[in-house]
Amino acid sequence: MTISAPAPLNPDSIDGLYRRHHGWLYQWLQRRFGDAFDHAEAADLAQDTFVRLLLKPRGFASEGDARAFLCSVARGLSIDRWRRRQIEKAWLDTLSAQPESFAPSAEHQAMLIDALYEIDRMLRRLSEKTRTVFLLAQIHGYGYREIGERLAISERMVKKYMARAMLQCALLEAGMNDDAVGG
Amino acid sequence: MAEAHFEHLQQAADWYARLSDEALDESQHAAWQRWLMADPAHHAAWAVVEKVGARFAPFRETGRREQAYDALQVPATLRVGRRRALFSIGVLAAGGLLGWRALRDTALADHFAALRAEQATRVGERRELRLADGSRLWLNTLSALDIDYGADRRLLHLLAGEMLLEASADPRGPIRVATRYGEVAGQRSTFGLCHQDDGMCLSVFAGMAEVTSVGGSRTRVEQGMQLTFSAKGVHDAPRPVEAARRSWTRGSYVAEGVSLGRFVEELGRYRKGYLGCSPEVADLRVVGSFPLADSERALDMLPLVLPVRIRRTLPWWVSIEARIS
Repeated sequence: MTISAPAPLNPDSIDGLYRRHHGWLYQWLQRRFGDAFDHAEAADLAQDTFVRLLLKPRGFASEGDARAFLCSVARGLSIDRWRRRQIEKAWLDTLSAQPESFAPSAEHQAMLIDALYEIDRMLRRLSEKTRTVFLLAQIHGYGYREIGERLAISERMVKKYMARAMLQCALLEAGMNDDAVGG
Repeated sequence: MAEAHFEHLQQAADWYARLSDEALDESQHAAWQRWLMADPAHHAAWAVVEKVGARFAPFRETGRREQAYDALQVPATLRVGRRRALFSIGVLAAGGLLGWRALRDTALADHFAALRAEQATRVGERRELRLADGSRLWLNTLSALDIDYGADRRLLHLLAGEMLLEASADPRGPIRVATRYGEVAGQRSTFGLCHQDDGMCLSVFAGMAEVTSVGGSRTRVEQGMQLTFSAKGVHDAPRPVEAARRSWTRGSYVAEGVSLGRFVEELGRYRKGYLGCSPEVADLRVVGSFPLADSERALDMLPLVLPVRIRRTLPWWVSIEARIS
């Protein structure tokens, strides 16, 4: 996997970028994701975006270029955070319907949610049907005939969706998908 | 280089899709085995695919399934201007799954193999077989074996798990055991073969055995010695044989100073569900004899000898952690 080498960055440029763009990014986040996140969360996300840049510094050709990059990182972080929250909520909602004796500790609950969230990341780029086929086979363990019947598609298509889903996941697992490291 | 990898992953994903169906026939399974053994790169690609499969393992349990399925099917629609945004993948968070990696992955390939093999054992089951030539064979937990004896050959295929063989002499020559990493031949000898995380472990208890790796390298292993090999060949110099590689035939696991991490890997093969140990205790050394038929008791014995505690979060989820005193 090749990532273009970061341009040399002089020490004060992160500082400069932060001063010039932080306020703007915070507002952009509020405007964009205001429905999903409150002010504090938007501020948090703006902060996180700059932390990413600090961890992996790079130079920018122009101010516009810098803002485009910051937006794309911030967007990615927002989606991640929102999706994690959504999964967590769905998981905990169904859990509350179960007998208490079966409930794992909060710590292991968090581990399970993390694991689910990681799976979700892998499946994110799949079409709805591919995702459904994959989940029915992976989690429920249904045979292809049964999946085909449920979704009204041929067994052949089920197999095709399975292979497609697995390849997508395997590429991410192996770190071969460039999107996995981008913003 | 990446191209080649992509191709292998594509093939592996394709095989996975074929093998995941219930309606799989023998010839397909054999074809998959051939593919797997044809190239170490295939094996590497398969390992990636298995890893993906293992991520789903914790959610396959009854009661967890529906919950996980529902959570993952929650529509991914964040109310923003462009829906396209949802399909961008963010910066990969490092280490999110560290805890999971430490847990034992379900070896999907082993399960598939067991479904199709002539002789297959379930989790926790051990079986003793008497072969047509008088040889004795033991099959350990979650193992799969095909027996292919003919007028001119004595051939076994170990598809998954672990076996111990007391090979008799025969005019047809040595018994050969084919594995995904290579072949082992022995005559008038007792040897064990065990699939492990890093390859195939060969332990010779009597006589001698010869390994021919998929790569073509040959190595003789003498009585009392043990080594690990993979498709590339033998990993290291032979070392004295581990008692544990035979003691299972009598129902016990004899630990002679193995790391707790390894102990967990071994014991995990006899159990359903997840058995893991936290990294800070993984290097502790374990000594003792543990009953395999009652792995719960084996686990309970650990805190008596090591500064650990056993945490049973769920009946199927057990972790070993440092004891805080």
